[in-house]
Order: sequence, then C-alpha cells, then structure tokens
Amino acid sequence: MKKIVVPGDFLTDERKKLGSNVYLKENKVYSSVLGILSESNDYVSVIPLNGPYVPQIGDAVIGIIKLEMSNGYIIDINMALDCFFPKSLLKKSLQVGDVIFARIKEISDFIDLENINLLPKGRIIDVPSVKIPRIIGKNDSMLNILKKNTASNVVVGKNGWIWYFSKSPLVLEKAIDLIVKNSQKSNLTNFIDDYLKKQIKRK
Amino acid sequence: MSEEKRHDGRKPNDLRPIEIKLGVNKNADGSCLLTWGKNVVLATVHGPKQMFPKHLSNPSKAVIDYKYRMACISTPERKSPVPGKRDKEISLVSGNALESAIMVEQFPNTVIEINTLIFTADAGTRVAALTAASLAAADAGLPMKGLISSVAGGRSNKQLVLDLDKQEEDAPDAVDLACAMLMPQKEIALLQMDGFVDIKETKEILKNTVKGIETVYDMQKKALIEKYPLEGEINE
Repeated sequence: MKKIVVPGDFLTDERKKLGSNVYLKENKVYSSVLGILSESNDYVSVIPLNGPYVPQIGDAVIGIIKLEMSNGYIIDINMALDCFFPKSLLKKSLQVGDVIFARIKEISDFIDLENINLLPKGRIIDVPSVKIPRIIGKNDSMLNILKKNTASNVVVGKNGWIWYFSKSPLVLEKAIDLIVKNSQKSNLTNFIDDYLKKQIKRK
Repeated sequence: MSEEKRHDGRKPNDLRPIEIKLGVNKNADGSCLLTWGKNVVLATVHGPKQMFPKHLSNPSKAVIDYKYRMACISTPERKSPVPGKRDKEISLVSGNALESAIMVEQFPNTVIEINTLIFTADAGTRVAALTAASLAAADAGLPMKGLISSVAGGRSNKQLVLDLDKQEEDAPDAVDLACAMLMPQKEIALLQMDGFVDIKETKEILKNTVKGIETVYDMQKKALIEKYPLEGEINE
C-alpha cells in the first residue's frame, strides 16, 4: 500500500539505513519532502513528487550551449549552476543553441562533463527531474513503449530534459504529460500502451 | 471568557473558512492559491537558481528572497504598488521564518525566490501569505524540516478571539498577535504583536493561537496529500 508523506512527517524510530529525502533527529527518522514513502525491513526513503534537479556523478544529461567563450563553452543543464567545458577536449566546434548529450564526470565548484555527443535536429520537453525514472520505467519498459508506438527517437536526460524526433510529436508529448501527471498511480505502463495504440489507430 | 458570538457568527476560537489550491501557476516551480475568509493570496516559488548580483549569494546556503506585496486593488481605496516600510518589514521577518523550515544548506550559492501577492486584504494577510508560501515551497519539492503554519490571535471588544477580521481589528482595544510555527516540531518561527495587553492575557492568546495553528497544519497536510490521489482513474 502506497502512502504519501509531507515534510516533517514522522516515519520510524527503528534503526534503519537512511535513503534519500529523509533526515534524522534525536534517533527518529522524518521525511523532508512531499513524496511517496518507500520502506523495507532495513531501509527507509521517500520518493519525491516534484523537486529541483540535484546532480550526481555518472548522470546522463541533456544540455544546451548557452555561451561561447575563447577557451570553452558554458552549458545549461537545467539547474542553478552552469557547467563549463573547455574547447581543447573537443574535436569539432559547437555553436550557441546546440543540444548535447553528456555524462557528469565530477562535481565541485563547477560541474565537469565527459563523453559529449551532439544531438541532431529535434525538440526538447521539460519535465520535473524526479519523474524521469517513471518515464524510463523498469528495464526501459515505458521508454520502449513510447518509442515503438510513436515511431520516434527519444533521448532522456536525468536532468529532466527529454530530446525527441518523432513523426507524431503531439501524441508523444501528450503521453509524457500523462505519465508526469499520474506518476504516483500504479499500472501506468499498460495504460500508456493502450492509450498510444488507440491514438495512433485513430490517425 | 464569555461565549458571546462574534459579528460574523463565529465562536471565539473559530477560524475563517480556508480553501487551498495547489499548482495553480504553471510558470512557477510551486504555487498555492489560498482563500482565507475574505483574504486571497497567491504564493509562488521559483528556484533554486543562480543569484544575481553574485556577491549577494552565500557559499554555505541558499538565500531566501521572500516578497510580501499587496496588489493595488486589495484595499477599499487604491494602495500604491510601491513597497512601503510595512511590506519590507513583513517580507524580512516572513523570509526568516521560512528559512528555518527550508533546508537551505543543500543549495549553496543560489537563491530561492518566494513571491506572495495579496489580492484581497481583510486582516491577517501576513499569516495567510506565510501559510501559502510554505505550501508553495512544499509543492515545489524543496526539502523542508516541516511546514510553517500560522494564525493571528488577539483581543477585540474585551473578548479574546482567534483569527481577527478587519472589523474586529478596528476595535479601540484591539490586540493582534501574529504567530507562525514550524510544524510538527512546534518551534516558534515568527511572533509579532501590536496593541496593549498584560502578560496574563498574552499567555491566554498564545495558547489559543497554538490550537489554531494545529488546525491550520491539518488543513495544509490534507491539501498536499489530496493533490496526488493514489487511487482512481488515470485521467487524460
């Protein structure tokens, strides 16, 4: 049974491994965000329902070139701090407005990227970054359904930006919107599969 | 305390009806439209985002930029939209109150912008704005130690009452005590008062106010949980 908790809710006073979005005070565990409680015998965490993107090493992100400088580029990756990437590590030059797919290498005062790939012409949708696991699904199940039914190419960044090139972009956008709005409900993968089949057939 | 009814039919310790709508502004990361009696407040949260000018940012925590503003249509006569002394003071103390709830140390060098706009004012707007701002911050998914709930208590016409409206606040012996608490820890985050009152009555007012705050906290919690229904049809 799923349960929604609000910031400050008491979760447990047992000794458990602390996951994300919880805090410890006087040997009691409290929630720190609005989210869904995920608790097992030795682990407690809260899955948030909305929130800012918090970068982690190894995240695959989508970025947009914001500014070109003499020695490198400033890249916007949908968070408060921008990243800098030096020109010396790139084989060919990029332009302002180019969309890239990269991996986060290091987080310090600045964010270092690696494996930069230029993405071709397409569109970007902005969704809350906490909904990205739901859009990918277990073993990419949801992402495969989206790609297969709408015959589109989709690249998902952990930072909440989704790049796609599709023959039926409106259906895909509507489907992603449905996932974001109903992410807390169960049995969503089957629903989206049926929904997309219905929509494509209607065309 | 006499059990006299108030001019609008409420009992001394009754709140005005509160209605909460979350996620009303799609341009903001989190938002809340709160109707508290005749008060209407919109609170929005943007951020955390990069701070400009950069020297105002803090390398150990996020800066809370709280703005309390009254729309020029909010009062019976047109109010100048220029922020006055009162607006600036309320912004400062309310921002400090919210900073005690939001875990600002997780977002160094950034700013969290919280804007509250009063559309209709009928006394007790600072507590309504703070309650709405706390809900908007929770709606934006910011990590928080708890929610900020607030109520104003006081005295009007020789009667100790909770949640005064404009007519009661204009009484000659009126006392208005605005209190905000970090719930469920019950730590006082804001306490302001105007009027003349002795210490015995102050304690009595504060006791009633804490009870009111608990009621408000339950409503806030209910509104947040109801935004995400777990059961039911997946609506298109």
